[in-house]
Amino acid sequence: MSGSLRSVIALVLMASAPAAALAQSHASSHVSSGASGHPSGGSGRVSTPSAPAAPPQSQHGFSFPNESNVRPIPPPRPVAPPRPVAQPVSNGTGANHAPTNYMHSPVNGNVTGGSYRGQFHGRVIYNPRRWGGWGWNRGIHWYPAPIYWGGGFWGPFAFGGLGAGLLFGSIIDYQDQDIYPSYQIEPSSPGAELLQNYGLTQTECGPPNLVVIWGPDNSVICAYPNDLVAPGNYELDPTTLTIVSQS
Amino acid sequence: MRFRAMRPQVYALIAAFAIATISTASAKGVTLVQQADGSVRTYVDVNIRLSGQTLWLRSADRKGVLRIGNGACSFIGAIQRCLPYTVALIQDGKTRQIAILHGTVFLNLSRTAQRLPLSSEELAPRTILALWRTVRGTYVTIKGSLDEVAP
Repeated sequence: MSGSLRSVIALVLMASAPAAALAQSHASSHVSSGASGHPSGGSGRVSTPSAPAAPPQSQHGFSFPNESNVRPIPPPRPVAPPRPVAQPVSNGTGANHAPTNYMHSPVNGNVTGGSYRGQFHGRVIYNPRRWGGWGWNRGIHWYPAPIYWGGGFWGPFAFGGLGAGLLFGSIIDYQDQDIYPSYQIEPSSPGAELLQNYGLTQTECGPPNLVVIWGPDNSVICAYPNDLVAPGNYELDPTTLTIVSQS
Repeated sequence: MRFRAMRPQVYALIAAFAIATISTASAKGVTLVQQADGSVRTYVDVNIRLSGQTLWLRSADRKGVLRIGNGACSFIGAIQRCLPYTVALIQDGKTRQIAILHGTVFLNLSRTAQRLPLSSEELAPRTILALWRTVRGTYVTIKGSLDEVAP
Protein backbone atom coordinates (compact mmCIF):
# COMPACT_ATOMS: atom_id res chain seq x y z
CA MET A 1 0.00 0.00 0.00
CA SER A 2 1.41 3.33 -1.00
CA GLY A 3 2.05 6.07 1.55
CA SER A 4 -0.48 8.41 0.01
CA LEU A 5 -3.22 5.78 0.08
CA ARG A 6 -2.44 5.09 3.74
CA SER A 7 -2.83 8.75 4.57
CA VAL A 8 -6.16 8.94 2.73
CA ILE A 9 -7.51 5.94 4.67
CA ALA A 10 -6.35 7.53 7.90
CA LEU A 11 -8.15 10.74 6.95
CA VAL A 12 -11.36 8.85 6.23
CA LEU A 13 -11.16 7.05 9.58
CA MET A 14 -10.58 10.32 11.45
CA ALA A 15 -13.48 12.03 9.70
CA SER A 16 -15.87 9.15 10.22
CA ALA A 17 -15.27 8.96 13.97
CA PRO A 18 -17.34 12.06 14.88
CA ALA A 19 -20.01 11.00 12.40
CA ALA A 20 -20.33 7.65 14.14
CA ALA A 21 -20.58 9.37 17.50
CA LEU A 22 -23.21 11.68 16.07
CA ALA A 23 -25.24 8.78 14.74
CA GLN A 24 -25.02 7.12 18.13
CA SER A 25 -26.30 10.21 19.90
CA HIS A 26 -29.10 10.54 17.34
CA ALA A 27 -30.14 7.00 18.05
CA SER A 28 -30.53 7.83 21.73
CA SER A 29 -31.16 11.55 21.48
CA HIS A 30 -33.05 11.91 24.71
CA VAL A 31 -32.13 10.51 28.05
CA SER A 32 -33.78 10.63 31.42
CA SER A 33 -32.53 10.93 34.94
CA GLY A 34 -34.20 10.17 38.20
CA ALA A 35 -35.83 12.53 40.63
CA SER A 36 -32.50 13.54 42.06
CA GLY A 37 -31.23 14.91 38.78
CA HIS A 38 -30.97 18.63 38.09
CA PRO A 39 -30.27 20.46 34.89
CA SER A 40 -26.66 21.40 34.68
CA GLY A 41 -27.23 24.19 32.19
CA GLY A 42 -23.89 23.45 30.64
CA SER A 43 -23.01 23.09 27.03
CA GLY A 44 -22.26 20.06 24.95
CA ARG A 45 -23.32 16.53 25.76
CA VAL A 46 -24.94 15.91 29.13
CA SER A 47 -24.18 12.69 30.89
CA THR A 48 -26.93 10.64 32.46
CA PRO A 49 -26.82 10.31 36.25
CA SER A 50 -26.89 6.82 37.67
CA ALA A 51 -30.27 7.32 39.37
CA PRO A 52 -33.12 5.13 38.12
CA ALA A 53 -34.62 6.41 34.90
CA ALA A 54 -38.10 7.90 34.90
CA PRO A 55 -40.55 6.05 32.68
CA PRO A 56 -40.68 7.78 29.31
CA GLN A 57 -44.03 9.38 28.52
CA SER A 58 -43.39 9.68 24.81
CA GLN A 59 -41.43 7.46 22.51
CA HIS A 60 -40.20 10.32 20.39
CA GLY A 61 -39.93 14.06 20.12
CA PHE A 62 -40.21 16.08 23.33
CA SER A 63 -42.03 14.89 26.41
CA PHE A 64 -44.08 17.17 28.66
CA PRO A 65 -46.28 14.71 30.53
CA ASN A 66 -47.60 17.20 33.07
CA GLU A 67 -48.36 20.02 30.70
CA SER A 68 -51.81 19.43 29.35
CA ASN A 69 -54.83 21.72 29.40
CA VAL A 70 -53.16 24.44 31.41
CA ARG A 71 -54.13 27.99 30.57
CA PRO A 72 -51.54 30.73 30.76
CA ILE A 73 -51.82 33.18 33.59
CA PRO A 74 -53.62 36.20 32.14
CA PRO A 75 -52.44 39.69 32.96
CA PRO A 76 -54.57 40.84 35.88
CA ARG A 77 -56.91 43.76 35.63
CA PRO A 78 -56.34 46.54 38.11
CA VAL A 79 -57.30 45.45 41.59
CA ALA A 80 -60.72 46.60 42.78
CA PRO A 81 -60.68 47.52 46.47
CA PRO A 82 -63.82 47.25 48.61
CA ARG A 83 -65.90 50.43 48.72
CA PRO A 84 -65.48 53.02 50.08
CA VAL A 85 -61.80 53.68 49.44
CA ALA A 86 -60.69 55.64 52.43
CA GLN A 87 -56.93 55.19 52.37
CA PRO A 88 -54.63 54.36 49.51
CA VAL A 89 -52.85 51.03 49.58
CA SER A 90 -49.28 51.95 48.85
CA ASN A 91 -46.92 50.73 51.51
CA GLY A 92 -48.05 53.39 53.92
CA THR A 93 -47.89 56.39 51.60
CA GLY A 94 -50.53 58.41 49.80
CA ALA A 95 -51.72 57.93 46.25
CA ASN A 96 -52.09 60.15 43.23
CA HIS A 97 -55.72 60.79 42.43
CA ALA A 98 -57.12 59.83 39.08
CA PRO A 99 -58.91 62.65 37.25
CA THR A 100 -62.68 62.84 37.34
CA ASN A 101 -62.94 62.22 33.61
CA TYR A 102 -61.21 58.89 34.00
CA MET A 103 -62.08 56.27 31.41
CA HIS A 104 -61.68 52.55 31.67
CA SER A 105 -58.80 51.34 29.59
CA PRO A 106 -59.09 47.98 27.88
CA VAL A 107 -56.60 45.38 29.02
CA ASN A 108 -54.73 45.04 25.79
CA GLY A 109 -51.21 43.93 25.08
CA ASN A 110 -50.44 47.02 23.05
CA VAL A 111 -52.04 49.61 25.28
CA THR A 112 -49.86 52.37 26.58
CA GLY A 113 -51.10 55.08 28.85
CA GLY A 114 -52.79 52.96 31.47
CA SER A 115 -55.92 54.44 32.97
CA TYR A 116 -55.49 57.71 31.05
CA ARG A 117 -55.31 56.15 27.64
CA GLY A 118 -56.44 58.49 24.90
CA GLN A 119 -56.28 61.51 27.16
CA PHE A 120 -52.70 62.55 26.66
CA HIS A 121 -52.81 65.57 24.42
CA GLY A 122 -50.44 67.81 26.31
CA ARG A 123 -46.89 68.85 25.73
CA VAL A 124 -44.48 66.37 24.20
CA ILE A 125 -41.27 66.34 26.17
CA TYR A 126 -38.84 64.94 23.67
CA ASN A 127 -36.29 62.48 24.88
CA PRO A 128 -32.97 64.31 25.26
CA ARG A 129 -31.28 61.50 23.34
CA ARG A 130 -33.61 62.15 20.37
CA TRP A 131 -33.95 58.52 19.48
CA GLY A 132 -35.29 57.72 16.02
CA GLY A 133 -37.74 54.87 15.48
CA TRP A 134 -36.61 52.17 17.88
CA GLY A 135 -33.11 53.66 17.83
CA TRP A 136 -32.79 53.00 21.54
CA ASN A 137 -33.28 49.28 20.74
CA ARG A 138 -30.82 49.18 17.84
CA GLY A 139 -33.65 49.57 15.38
CA ILE A 140 -35.47 46.45 16.53
CA HIS A 141 -39.20 46.79 17.16
CA TRP A 142 -40.11 46.36 20.79
CA TYR A 143 -43.48 44.94 21.66
CA PRO A 144 -44.89 43.77 24.98
CA ALA A 145 -44.70 40.20 26.24
CA PRO A 146 -48.20 39.80 27.71
CA ILE A 147 -47.53 37.67 30.80
CA TYR A 148 -45.13 40.23 32.26
CA TRP A 149 -45.94 43.41 34.13
CA GLY A 150 -45.83 46.31 31.71
CA GLY A 151 -45.21 43.80 28.94
CA GLY A 152 -41.63 43.53 30.18
CA PHE A 153 -40.86 47.19 29.53
CA TRP A 154 -39.77 47.84 33.09
CA GLY A 155 -38.00 44.51 33.55
CA PRO A 156 -38.69 40.77 33.38
CA PHE A 157 -41.37 40.76 36.05
CA ALA A 158 -43.86 37.98 35.49
CA PHE A 159 -47.29 38.38 37.06
CA GLY A 160 -46.95 34.92 38.52
CA GLY A 161 -43.75 35.89 40.31
CA LEU A 162 -44.61 39.39 41.50
CA GLY A 163 -44.86 39.48 45.23
CA ALA A 164 -45.77 42.20 47.66
CA GLY A 165 -42.07 42.60 48.37
CA LEU A 166 -41.49 44.13 44.96
CA LEU A 167 -44.46 46.50 45.26
CA PHE A 168 -43.42 50.12 44.92
CA GLY A 169 -46.61 51.97 45.74
CA SER A 170 -49.69 52.24 43.60
CA ILE A 171 -52.04 54.63 41.86
CA ILE A 172 -55.64 54.62 42.97
CA ASP A 173 -58.58 55.62 40.87
CA TYR A 174 -61.18 56.61 43.44
CA GLN A 175 -63.93 57.06 40.92
CA ASP A 176 -63.78 53.58 39.46
CA GLN A 177 -62.32 51.93 42.53
CA ASP A 178 -59.27 50.59 40.74
CA ILE A 179 -55.75 50.20 42.05
CA TYR A 180 -52.78 50.17 39.69
CA PRO A 181 -49.84 48.62 41.52
CA SER A 182 -46.34 49.81 40.71
CA TYR A 183 -43.06 47.90 41.04
CA GLN A 184 -39.40 48.77 41.23
CA ILE A 185 -37.95 48.71 37.76
CA GLU A 186 -34.90 46.73 36.69
CA PRO A 187 -31.74 48.76 36.01
CA SER A 188 -31.10 47.26 32.55
CA SER A 189 -34.68 47.52 31.29
CA PRO A 190 -35.97 49.84 28.56
CA GLY A 191 -37.85 51.67 31.29
CA ALA A 192 -34.59 52.31 33.10
CA GLU A 193 -33.14 53.69 29.86
CA LEU A 194 -36.11 56.05 29.66
CA LEU A 195 -35.59 57.33 33.20
CA GLN A 196 -31.87 57.71 32.64
CA ASN A 197 -32.42 59.69 29.43
CA TYR A 198 -34.67 62.16 31.25
CA GLY A 199 -32.53 62.21 34.37
CA LEU A 200 -35.40 60.89 36.47
CA THR A 201 -35.17 58.80 39.63
CA GLN A 202 -37.91 56.31 40.40
CA THR A 203 -39.72 56.57 43.69
CA GLU A 204 -42.66 54.87 45.28
CA CYS A 205 -46.01 55.83 43.80
CA GLY A 206 -48.49 57.37 46.18
CA PRO A 207 -47.38 60.80 47.35
CA PRO A 208 -48.65 63.81 45.37
CA ASN A 209 -46.60 65.94 42.98
CA LEU A 210 -44.69 63.14 41.37
CA VAL A 211 -43.98 62.37 37.74
CA VAL A 212 -46.35 59.50 36.92
CA ILE A 213 -45.50 57.60 33.74
CA TRP A 214 -48.03 55.19 32.28
CA GLY A 215 -46.45 52.39 30.29
CA PRO A 216 -47.54 49.34 28.33
CA ASP A 217 -50.35 47.14 29.61
CA ASN A 218 -51.63 49.66 32.17
CA SER A 219 -48.34 49.68 34.03
CA VAL A 220 -47.30 52.75 35.96
CA ILE A 221 -44.17 54.02 37.62
CA CYS A 222 -43.44 57.21 39.51
CA ALA A 223 -40.39 59.46 39.71
CA TYR A 224 -39.26 62.65 41.34
CA PRO A 225 -39.77 65.67 39.08
CA ASN A 226 -36.76 67.58 37.76
CA ASP A 227 -36.04 70.62 35.61
CA LEU A 228 -37.05 68.76 32.47
CA VAL A 229 -40.13 66.91 33.66
CA ALA A 230 -42.72 68.58 35.89
CA PRO A 231 -45.09 66.69 38.19
CA GLY A 232 -48.10 65.15 36.48
CA ASN A 233 -49.27 62.26 34.41
CA TYR A 234 -47.42 61.17 31.28
CA GLU A 235 -47.82 58.56 28.62
CA LEU A 236 -44.78 57.04 26.99
CA ASP A 237 -44.15 56.30 23.36
CA PRO A 238 -41.96 53.19 23.30
CA THR A 239 -40.90 53.88 19.71
CA THR A 240 -38.87 56.92 20.66
CA LEU A 241 -38.87 56.68 24.46
CA THR A 242 -40.68 60.02 24.48
CA ILE A 243 -43.23 61.10 27.05
CA VAL A 244 -46.38 63.14 26.52
CA SER A 245 -48.06 65.02 29.33
CA GLN A 246 -51.73 64.64 30.04
CA SER A 247 -52.45 68.35 29.65
CA MET B 1 -2.02 3.68 -15.26
CA ARG B 2 -1.05 6.40 -12.81
CA PHE B 3 -4.46 8.08 -13.28
CA ARG B 4 -6.29 4.80 -12.49
CA ALA B 5 -4.28 4.35 -9.30
CA MET B 6 -5.26 7.81 -8.08
CA ARG B 7 -9.04 7.46 -8.58
CA PRO B 8 -9.84 5.53 -5.36
CA GLN B 9 -7.82 8.07 -3.40
CA VAL B 10 -9.80 10.95 -4.89
CA TYR B 11 -13.09 9.25 -4.05
CA ALA B 12 -11.89 8.61 -0.52
CA LEU B 13 -10.91 12.25 -0.14
CA ILE B 14 -14.32 13.44 -1.36
CA ALA B 15 -16.07 11.05 1.05
CA ALA B 16 -13.90 12.23 3.93
CA PHE B 17 -14.72 15.87 3.24
CA ALA B 18 -18.44 15.08 2.93
CA ILE B 19 -18.50 13.30 6.29
CA ALA B 20 -16.54 16.07 7.93
CA THR B 21 -18.94 18.69 6.54
CA ILE B 22 -22.03 16.80 7.76
CA SER B 23 -20.49 16.44 11.22
CA THR B 24 -19.75 20.14 11.63
CA ALA B 25 -23.16 21.22 10.28
CA SER B 26 -25.14 19.14 12.79
CA ALA B 27 -27.24 20.72 15.52
CA LYS B 28 -25.56 21.19 18.87
CA GLY B 29 -28.41 22.39 21.04
CA VAL B 30 -29.06 20.75 24.38
CA THR B 31 -32.46 20.95 26.04
CA LEU B 32 -33.13 19.87 29.59
CA VAL B 33 -36.68 19.39 30.84
CA GLN B 34 -37.03 19.00 34.57
CA GLN B 35 -40.47 17.94 35.76
CA ALA B 36 -41.94 19.18 39.00
CA ASP B 37 -41.08 15.82 40.60
CA GLY B 38 -37.39 16.40 39.87
CA SER B 39 -36.96 13.95 37.04
CA VAL B 40 -34.93 15.29 34.15
CA ARG B 41 -34.95 14.53 30.46
CA THR B 42 -32.07 15.66 28.34
CA TYR B 43 -32.39 16.16 24.62
CA VAL B 44 -29.22 16.55 22.65
CA ASP B 45 -28.61 17.56 19.05
CA VAL B 46 -31.65 19.82 19.09
CA ASN B 47 -31.94 21.99 16.02
CA ILE B 48 -32.41 25.64 17.00
CA ARG B 49 -33.87 28.17 14.61
CA LEU B 50 -34.66 31.80 15.26
CA SER B 51 -37.28 33.34 13.01
CA GLY B 52 -37.96 36.94 13.91
CA GLN B 53 -38.49 36.76 17.63
CA THR B 54 -39.82 33.21 17.56
CA LEU B 55 -37.59 30.35 18.57
CA TRP B 56 -38.08 26.92 17.02
CA LEU B 57 -36.55 23.81 18.58
CA ARG B 58 -36.66 20.54 16.69
CA SER B 59 -35.78 17.27 18.38
CA ALA B 60 -32.97 15.20 16.91
CA ASP B 61 -35.42 12.58 15.66
CA ARG B 62 -37.36 15.41 13.92
CA LYS B 63 -40.60 14.28 15.54
CA GLY B 64 -41.15 17.08 18.00
CA VAL B 65 -41.03 20.84 17.65
CA LEU B 66 -41.21 23.46 20.36
CA ARG B 67 -42.28 26.92 19.24
CA ILE B 68 -41.41 29.67 21.69
CA GLY B 69 -42.89 33.11 21.15
CA ASN B 70 -40.82 35.91 22.59
CA GLY B 71 -41.54 39.54 23.20
CA ALA B 72 -40.01 42.56 24.90
CA CYS B 73 -36.67 41.96 23.22
CA SER B 74 -34.10 44.55 24.22
CA PHE B 75 -30.35 44.75 24.53
CA ILE B 76 -28.08 44.52 27.52
CA GLY B 77 -24.80 45.43 25.90
CA ALA B 78 -24.53 43.19 22.85
CA ILE B 79 -26.68 40.47 24.40
CA GLN B 80 -30.30 40.50 23.38
CA ARG B 81 -32.75 39.53 26.09
CA CYS B 82 -36.28 38.44 25.26
CA LEU B 83 -39.15 37.30 27.43
CA PRO B 84 -40.92 34.14 26.33
CA TYR B 85 -44.69 34.20 26.72
CA THR B 86 -46.10 31.43 24.56
CA VAL B 87 -44.82 27.90 24.09
CA ALA B 88 -46.39 25.32 21.83
CA LEU B 89 -45.42 21.69 21.42
CA ILE B 90 -46.03 20.49 17.87
CA GLN B 91 -45.90 16.72 17.83
CA ASP B 92 -47.88 13.76 16.52
CA GLY B 93 -49.80 16.05 14.21
CA LYS B 94 -51.11 18.10 17.13
CA THR B 95 -50.27 21.46 18.59
CA ARG B 96 -50.42 21.69 22.36
CA GLN B 97 -50.02 24.94 24.26
CA ILE B 98 -47.74 24.89 27.29
CA ALA B 99 -48.54 27.66 29.73
CA ILE B 100 -45.41 29.29 31.01
CA LEU B 101 -45.04 31.29 34.17
CA HIS B 102 -41.91 33.20 33.29
CA GLY B 103 -38.56 32.86 31.60
CA THR B 104 -35.73 34.60 29.83
CA VAL B 105 -34.03 34.07 26.50
CA PHE B 106 -30.52 35.40 25.99
CA LEU B 107 -29.25 35.67 22.43
CA ASN B 108 -25.80 36.48 21.22
CA LEU B 109 -26.13 37.32 17.56
CA SER B 110 -22.82 39.16 17.46
CA ARG B 111 -19.57 37.80 16.10
CA THR B 112 -17.78 37.76 19.42
CA ALA B 113 -18.36 36.00 22.72
CA GLN B 114 -20.42 38.07 25.15
CA ARG B 115 -20.62 37.90 28.90
CA LEU B 116 -24.11 37.42 30.32
CA PRO B 117 -25.35 40.21 32.59
CA LEU B 118 -24.48 39.70 36.25
CA SER B 119 -22.75 36.44 35.44
CA SER B 120 -19.33 35.03 34.68
CA GLU B 121 -20.90 32.88 31.95
CA GLU B 122 -20.13 33.77 28.37
CA LEU B 123 -22.25 33.17 25.33
CA ALA B 124 -20.34 32.20 22.22
CA PRO B 125 -21.21 33.93 18.94
CA ARG B 126 -24.60 32.93 17.53
CA THR B 127 -25.66 31.00 20.59
CA ILE B 128 -28.67 31.15 22.85
CA LEU B 129 -29.42 30.40 26.47
CA ALA B 130 -33.08 30.10 27.37
CA LEU B 131 -34.66 29.23 30.66
CA TRP B 132 -38.35 29.09 31.44
CA ARG B 133 -40.73 27.68 33.96
CA THR B 134 -44.21 26.42 33.22
CA VAL B 135 -47.32 27.00 35.29
CA ARG B 136 -47.14 23.33 36.29
CA GLY B 137 -43.62 23.70 37.67
CA THR B 138 -41.58 22.25 34.80
CA TYR B 139 -38.23 23.91 34.22
CA VAL B 140 -36.78 23.99 30.73
CA THR B 141 -33.20 24.96 29.95
CA ILE B 142 -31.94 25.34 26.39
CA LYS B 143 -28.43 26.08 25.35
CA GLY B 144 -26.75 25.82 22.02
CA SER B 145 -25.70 27.40 18.81
CA LEU B 146 -28.27 28.72 16.38
CA ASP B 147 -28.56 26.53 13.32
CA GLU B 148 -30.53 29.14 11.43
CA VAL B 149 -31.45 32.77 11.86
CA ALA B 150 -34.22 34.20 9.69
CA PRO B 151 -35.56 37.75 9.77
